Amino acid sequence: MSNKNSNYHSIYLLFLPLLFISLILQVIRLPEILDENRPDVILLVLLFFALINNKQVTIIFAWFTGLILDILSGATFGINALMLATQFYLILTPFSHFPQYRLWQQALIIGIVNLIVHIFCYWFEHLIGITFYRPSFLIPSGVLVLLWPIAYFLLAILCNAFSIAIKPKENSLT
Amino acid sequence: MNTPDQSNIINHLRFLVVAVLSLVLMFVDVRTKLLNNFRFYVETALYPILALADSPNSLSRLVTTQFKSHSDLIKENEELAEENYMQKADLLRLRALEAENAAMRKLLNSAEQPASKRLFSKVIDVDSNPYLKRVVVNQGTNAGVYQGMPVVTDTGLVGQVISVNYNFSRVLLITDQNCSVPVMNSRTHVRSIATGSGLDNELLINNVPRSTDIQIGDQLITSGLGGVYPEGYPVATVSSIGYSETQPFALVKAKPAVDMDKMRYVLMFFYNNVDNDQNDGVKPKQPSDGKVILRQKKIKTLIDSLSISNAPENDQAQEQNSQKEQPEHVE
Repeated sequence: MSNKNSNYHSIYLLFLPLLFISLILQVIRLPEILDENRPDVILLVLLFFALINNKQVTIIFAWFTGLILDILSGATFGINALMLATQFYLILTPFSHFPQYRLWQQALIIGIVNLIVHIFCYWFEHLIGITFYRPSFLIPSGVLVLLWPIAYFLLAILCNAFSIAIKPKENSLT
Repeated sequence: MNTPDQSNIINHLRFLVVAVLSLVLMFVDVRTKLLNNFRFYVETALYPILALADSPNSLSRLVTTQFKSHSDLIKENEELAEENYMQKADLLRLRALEAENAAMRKLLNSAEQPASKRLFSKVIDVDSNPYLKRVVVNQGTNAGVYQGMPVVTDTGLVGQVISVNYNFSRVLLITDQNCSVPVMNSRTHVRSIATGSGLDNELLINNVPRSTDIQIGDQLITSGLGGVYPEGYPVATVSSIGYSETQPFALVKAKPAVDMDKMRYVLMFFYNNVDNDQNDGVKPKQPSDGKVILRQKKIKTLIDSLSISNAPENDQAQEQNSQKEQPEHVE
């Protein structure tokens, strides 16, 4: 068993480059139609790696990634960090059997939590008087639901290709 | 090994800590200037990532340019040559008009308005937050860019610089909800304020009385009031006017002169850097940073303390200066 484990590479071999790529995808300049519907790709990457190894990918990682996103996008310090950390926490902590759920169930939970956090953000911005009503701000959550199964399969294939251990599902969050 | 309960408690605690830290950071960033320097250096260090994020865009433009056919290039060249020829002819007339304007201003004993220095820059990123209308341009303090600098394109006003880093800066667009521009109707010379609506193709013209002479198609230009934007640049064209019996003001909307989604290059104006000693007209707004003022006061006190012997002369000079400055403060 120990020999088998030693053949696996560290999770960071794939996680950190993918996190960097997702950060780029989050700030890259896109045409207006795509820009409005841009999903939180970073959240997908963080969640996938937290599912396969929740000891190494924790909420602290999500928070620091959010801080880097704040700096890159010029947003108020801490706002994206809080949004990412909240989503990470709301998905992985109350749903203790989240890894055992079917993919469509996971996608639905991710989409709903993302939607709730975006609505809270919208309310907060509305309270301080810097926002306007635009129903399209809910579309990225829908895109996220559709994207999760695709992202899951692609990332699993990459993990296999890079010999990264995927923990058994029943132990992943306990 | 942690039990599931212990692991949950740790997760709750971690979330609590990061939530509190985020709120503290937000408060410090919004209410104080403690993080400004930190932000300057970190954002400057992360500039290569922004440049990398723009690379697919640059690459697509490069490919489009490279794959243009020979006949297309000849046609484009001919069109540009014709445009250049026409503009040269216009420039001759502009120079004559400028000279005439200067002569007439002299006759009226009014100050001349010298042309501002401009800086060409490229848009490298657009803010992905749907609530903020901002773009990133590739010029920063290394090129002399400063906060509050007006930004224009060949078609009209874009906005102003809101944060500056060493090699890039962020521009707040006039369509952002936090941006208001003092404008003037070029047909009737009625002044008003254009505020961003948060939408790319709409500005709101606030507090326009229902009796005001305003029509669809009227061009709104910068009035120069407020001292941030230079006078006379096209801002928007009136697109709709709504009247309601219950409202004291008309609901006026305007379409920005610049297509914010498609702009690739901008011009940044060194408007505050115009030599105001020769200009007795409207002075641009001075920075009101408390730290800067305190520093300036300290330096002034230090210079005064070093030259005590010349104190009476200095006082006289200061009085003269203050007398000179008084009319400027009245505006």
